[in-house]
Amino acid sequence: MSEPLLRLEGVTRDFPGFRLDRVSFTLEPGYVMGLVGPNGAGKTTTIKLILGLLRMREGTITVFGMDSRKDSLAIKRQVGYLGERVALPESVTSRWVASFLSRCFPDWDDSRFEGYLNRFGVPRDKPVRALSKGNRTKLALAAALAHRPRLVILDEPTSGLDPLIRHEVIESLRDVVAGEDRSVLFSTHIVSDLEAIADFVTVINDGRVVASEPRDRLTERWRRLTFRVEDATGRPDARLLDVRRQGATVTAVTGEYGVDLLQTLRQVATGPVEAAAMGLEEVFRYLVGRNRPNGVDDR
Amino acid sequence: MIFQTWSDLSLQHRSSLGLVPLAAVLMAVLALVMGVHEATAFPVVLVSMMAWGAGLRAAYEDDKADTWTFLRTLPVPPAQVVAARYLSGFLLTITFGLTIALPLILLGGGAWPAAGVGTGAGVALTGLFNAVYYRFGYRAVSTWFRYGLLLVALGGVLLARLILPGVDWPLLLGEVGTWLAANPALMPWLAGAGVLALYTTCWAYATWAFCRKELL
Repeated sequence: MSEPLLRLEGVTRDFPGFRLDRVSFTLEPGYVMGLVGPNGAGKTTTIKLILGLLRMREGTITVFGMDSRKDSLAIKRQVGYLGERVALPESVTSRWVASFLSRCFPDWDDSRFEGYLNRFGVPRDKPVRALSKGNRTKLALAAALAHRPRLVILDEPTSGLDPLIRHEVIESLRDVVAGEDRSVLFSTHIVSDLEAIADFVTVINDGRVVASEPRDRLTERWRRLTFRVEDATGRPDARLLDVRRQGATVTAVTGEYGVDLLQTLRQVATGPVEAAAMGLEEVFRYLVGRNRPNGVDDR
Repeated sequence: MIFQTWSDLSLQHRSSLGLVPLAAVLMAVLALVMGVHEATAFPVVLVSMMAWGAGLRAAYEDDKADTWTFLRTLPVPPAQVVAARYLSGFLLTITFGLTIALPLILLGGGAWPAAGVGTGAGVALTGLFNAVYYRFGYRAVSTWFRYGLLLVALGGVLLARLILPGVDWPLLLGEVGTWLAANPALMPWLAGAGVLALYTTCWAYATWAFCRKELL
């Protein structure tokens, strides 16, 4: 693999009552990573640290091979950012946005910006205050993409949007990330948003990374298992979670599905071991400990 | 930098610029009702109030639109963000001073000294306001300056009336202006240099504070 576009190593930051604890993950060029976690898990803090809006206590962040603390301006020239709150002055129009940002970004491309506005159906001459929340988000997204950034950082861009508009924004996002050689870090607590676009998923909970891997691998190793046993007492295997029994039938969930586990279970099962795929949302709930009384073991 | 200063003027100070003709009309009315000489005491108060109001309004607009986050995610040095605000604040206060002096000049009064004192006070206040704003943020600056100014103004007036009950303050302030005009060689330059020194010191402090500021 080539040099990661974004690398976080042991990033730590303390706040009263919250600690972002040794966060590490990498994002390769050309991939979309979903940074997912419950509200207050540390997603926005992580993004603010990447953008230099906050200072870390420990760790390193490198973007395009550059140190985020030393080369902040050079990094920002190649980053497009869209936050949960669309931070644009309310009295300006899309023309003002283009005029202002073209002076900030050397690679600003007016025709590209216009192209996105057309594609997203954003009115040109209305001030920001007159735009719907969905259109504001789309305008900010067009502004974040028009200078051809190598890395796009989206912090809860769909938060607060109604389901219809959220779907539209996600579709717009999918359009613009598909087939283009850029990387996207997409933070959200709405896991279903990731199903459409994310190649990689990093799950963060209580300030710690609990999983960071390709989405397919994550959904591959998390399975809901059903099998029958003769001895209905005891736990068939330590890798099984949320074990439930109904007579001789056992259902359980595992995050370590594979040949080794299957072989072990076949030794105790009286029939076939059925392994059903789990949705990303369900996997997420297990990873953040919401479906497990014993919590999650950090990996 | 020029464009950013212009953007700051045209966006964050737009509503304050709209007050400029209104202030000129108010000054003309005061001069006509009270007499030009008496009215020369007012530029200090008017320009200071307008400078404070403009600063507060710009800070409010910043806070409402989360402008700090917007600007800090762009490849723009934080020092440039502060510089644009200080330059636009300076230009705006000069505009306030000139506009308020204009009716007095047209009505035949010696308005330059009064306008000079008023503009100087406005510039100093703008510098201090922005220094507090970039260090502590909108909520702090809006509270401190609102109640702080009120306290200083009320306390000042009460103190002045207690200590020197017989003094005609508007006349005295006008006299200060006239006295300054009578010493053109030194005093205005000293006063101007003092105000500029205060302004640039506040600017440097605001830059230092904003460059280190974390946006939670």
